[in-house]
Amino acid sequence: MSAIRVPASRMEKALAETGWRVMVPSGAGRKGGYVELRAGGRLPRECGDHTKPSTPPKGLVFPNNEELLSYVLGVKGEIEVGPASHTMARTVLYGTPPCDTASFRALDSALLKDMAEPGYAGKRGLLGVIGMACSRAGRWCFCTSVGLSPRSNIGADLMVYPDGDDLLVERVSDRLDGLWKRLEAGAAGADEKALRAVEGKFVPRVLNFVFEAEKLADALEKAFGSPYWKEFSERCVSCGICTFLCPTCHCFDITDVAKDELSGKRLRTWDTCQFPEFTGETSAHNPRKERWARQRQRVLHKFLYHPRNHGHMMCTGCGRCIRYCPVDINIAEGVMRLGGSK
Amino acid sequence: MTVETPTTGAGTGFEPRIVAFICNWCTYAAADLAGVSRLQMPPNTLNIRVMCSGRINPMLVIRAFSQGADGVLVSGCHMGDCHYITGNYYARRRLLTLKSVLTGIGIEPERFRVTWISAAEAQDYQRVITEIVENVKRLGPLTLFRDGRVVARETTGCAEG
Amino acid sequence: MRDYRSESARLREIVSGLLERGEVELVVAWTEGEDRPRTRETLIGKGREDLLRKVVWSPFCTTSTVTFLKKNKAALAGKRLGVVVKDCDLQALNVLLQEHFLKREDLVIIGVRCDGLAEADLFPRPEGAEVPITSDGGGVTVGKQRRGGEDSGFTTCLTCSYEDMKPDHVVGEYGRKKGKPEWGHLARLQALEPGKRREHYAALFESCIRCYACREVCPVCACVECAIDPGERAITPRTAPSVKACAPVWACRERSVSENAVYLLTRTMHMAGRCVRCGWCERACPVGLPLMEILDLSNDAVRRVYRYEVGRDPADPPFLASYAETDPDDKGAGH
Repeated sequence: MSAIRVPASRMEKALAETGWRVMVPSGAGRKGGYVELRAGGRLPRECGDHTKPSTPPKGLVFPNNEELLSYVLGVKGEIEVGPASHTMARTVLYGTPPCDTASFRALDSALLKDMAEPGYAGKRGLLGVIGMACSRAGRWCFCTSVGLSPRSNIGADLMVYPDGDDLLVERVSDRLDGLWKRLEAGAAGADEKALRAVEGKFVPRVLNFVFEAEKLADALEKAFGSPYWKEFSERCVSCGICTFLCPTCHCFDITDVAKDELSGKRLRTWDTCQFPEFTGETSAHNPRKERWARQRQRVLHKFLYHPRNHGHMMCTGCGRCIRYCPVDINIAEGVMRLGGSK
Repeated sequence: MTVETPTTGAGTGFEPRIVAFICNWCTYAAADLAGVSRLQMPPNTLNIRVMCSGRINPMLVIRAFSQGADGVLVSGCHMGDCHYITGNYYARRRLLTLKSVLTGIGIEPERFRVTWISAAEAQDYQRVITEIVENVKRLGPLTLFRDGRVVARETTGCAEG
Repeated sequence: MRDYRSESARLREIVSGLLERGEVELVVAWTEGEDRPRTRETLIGKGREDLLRKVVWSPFCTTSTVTFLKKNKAALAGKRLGVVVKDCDLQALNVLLQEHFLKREDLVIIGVRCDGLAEADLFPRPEGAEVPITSDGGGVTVGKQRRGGEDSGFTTCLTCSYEDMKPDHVVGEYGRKKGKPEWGHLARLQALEPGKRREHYAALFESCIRCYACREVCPVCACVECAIDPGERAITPRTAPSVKACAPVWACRERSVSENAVYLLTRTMHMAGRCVRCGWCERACPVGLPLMEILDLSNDAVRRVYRYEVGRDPADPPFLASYAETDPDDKGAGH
């Protein structure tokens, strides 16, 4: 079967038996985050905008501080380079809403396609994602405009649909097969009808805009020189919150940090295309010196370049960039003006 | 999150590292005088000569603490006697405001001292140095900025003044 | 009770009058956003008359028009500007005028008397074109929902003491007396013994993701090249390599307690005597850091010990660029 019905407590037990680290969303908004579930702790029973932390789960496989290598200068002048161990404890991420679950599709295609980035690959291989259907949209959500829905299982290895004290669990990929078999043993199967019935609880919000990926990409390409970009970015303060909180953004900076004259490390940290110095060159030339050029790049990366390169939009409609932007810049509004359709 | 481990108290072998920013015209001269007068002081300070206490950017003090200093001293000329007339007045306002912030975040007031010691006051210099080292020794290492790292290399600083 | 619909109408009259008479070329004001009752800073002027209809003043004008001025300084240089300011914005503007960052003669200042702000996202989204927004001394009402005090989402406004604005034009009357309230949040923290206080602040420092939003939204953080991890470097193609190579790195990019603390403490010191306590840094912080708990450590000293009023008058000397014979000394170990 590809779907089963289990009591939620059964899922808790099965996860505890694996001995893996279980990360769950804890706390909504700015004070929330994805944190480790304590032994014996209770899994979240629902998810939605009202339980969504401001920080997305990308930090699990793409940390803000990541050591790429370390070095020590020996007494004879020899340099010992220590590689970082791009690994982590085997982890299950449980209870992400579809907007966060789908972020792994975008991150995987950007960081694993063609040549896998070792830091990301090492951790991603040790992460299983159990997505959960979303029961409540927030005022800034627009997942349905970007081809997702509250029931979308893109990016998930298992998908759960909460139904009272039960969960309908759907097998989406084979990555968590061990866990799946543990749950499947003795569980009632769930047929298509049951799945459709419970899916009916997770109803998409009606939005008055839809982004048709290819039409939008073409329209944005044509709008490259539009004067609207200046208006869109007029009040932008280049704080970078939109990109730091975006579940799919993955730009980074590399710095060498010396501990003393003899040793140090090379560090990767999150960076943002919104900082002025992101495209600053040694000559002092900066091709994106103006805020509108940087905001344009952000929007086009998500709705033109990434779709053309990878076949899907680099936006999951989570709405964090709109909700947390300190100056009320709305990417959906901007895209609508330039190429969306009603 | 940093965890405080109890290493305070005499007899634990803890030697504090104190950074002292001392002004060329007054306190540095006092330190010199203390040296030639053979006044005994604990050797825990790393003395940095600056031309005037007014040169002290609060970032220097913050950086000193964050790089592992357990205590910081800034010492210059008495009010009205600054070699550059008003440098120490600006320093006093700036550094005492900084002290309010540092004590506010839990850095004990004994760790950051701002004093005015003139060129002839070698004994005051001896007293201030001895005081700050003994106070910080009693308080223990400052762990707020340690991130769980072990601070590289223990040093004993200058042998004299 | 204050009715912000009528106050907004009065504001629109003043703004359109200034533009029509050519007294200003452009006006920086708040307009209603798409996501009401949120507002956004907007530039009103020739060719943008449609935006004039949307100019609004309400407790949801929670951003700072002075930040807009600082971010767009180059584009607006030499133009005669009108700017709508709340009390804290005017304080911030005075700080920038004290430092000659802006010129007073380029500006026409339209003050809106503020009783305190409220968080738009806490109120239900209003339906319909005209939504009554009112405030009484203790709270803000949108349609049928009222929120006041801590529930308004704006705790720094509760300890605001500024009520002395002297702009060129003014809209609204104060609905509450602000006085000089005590800062209770500080007292509770300062009563903790140093070890507990260090734990509290270490947790704060550790959570910072160094997005620098606090710096970017701040109306008085206006340096072209920030001393700490500059977002923008004041270099040109003619800048010598040796100059670029010698730029000190005060806080490295590592997100750790020590580096984050260097950033946060340095910004606090650079704000000493300049912070107007608008609270925007704290509201903007994406990880919810209680930034006023650090900034108020210096704000408290400035107010209580040095009796300096931030942003009172453009002719005042900046706090750290001045001194008094009566400035206190280090009281020794017990300070």
